[in-house]
Amino acid sequence: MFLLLTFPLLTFNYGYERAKIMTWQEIREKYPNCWVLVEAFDATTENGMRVINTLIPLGEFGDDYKPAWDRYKALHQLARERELYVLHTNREELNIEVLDGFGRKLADAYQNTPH
Amino acid sequence: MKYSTVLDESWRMPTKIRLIDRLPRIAVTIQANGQSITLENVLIDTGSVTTVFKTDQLSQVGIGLLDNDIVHTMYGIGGREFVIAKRLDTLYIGDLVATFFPIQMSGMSYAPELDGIIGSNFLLQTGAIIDFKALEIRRG
Repeated sequence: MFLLLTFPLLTFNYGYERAKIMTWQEIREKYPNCWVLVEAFDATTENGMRVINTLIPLGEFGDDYKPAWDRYKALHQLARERELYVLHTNREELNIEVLDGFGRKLADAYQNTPH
Repeated sequence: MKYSTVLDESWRMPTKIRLIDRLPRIAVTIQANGQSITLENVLIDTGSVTTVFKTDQLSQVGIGLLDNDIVHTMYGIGGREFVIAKRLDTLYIGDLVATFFPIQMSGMSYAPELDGIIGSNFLLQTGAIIDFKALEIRRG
């Protein structure tokens, strides 16, 4: 009886288990020396740099970046506001700079514009 | 670049601008790692600071993702895009030439029909004149 009652609860929780929220260093430890497709989960912009506290790994692709890039393109086509990255886990720090819609670095973008 | 292409005088001529679906498009030749390809469908975009090419086309001249790339995230019209900073050995548009030229590599999902975008950094560096009356782009 107890098992029957908790069964839907267990399956419900299982769905949440699958989306692992990790820091970049945790991803590097779990998937060493390979290409990964990741989505930024908790991120802010500070001084023109993206500060990404946690990410969700969406796939691990081994030595070749091309399958990872194909998967990225398919996902990005469906939802272009998602913050997806194809990165190699040899990368020690993320160091991702933000550009505006005209391709300018945020730090140099509005220096001479009155606003 | 092949020897026959160097002897051919056509590379010194102004490049014709083709208006397809109301967008000004030109053919550009990119060269890297000793290989070169010509992309026929590249947009002239004075509203973009950077010059952008697609990953699929750049892989034909041996430019791909590396583990220590400088990467950016670009946001603006039509969501957010992951872009990677790269350099081309040479970028030709007719008589306009730029060497060791910085570009951005991306998926360009906002413009699936284009091969790339020539931004104002290339036009400024080469001193280009965009002539919309004669529909051509040439050196000033």
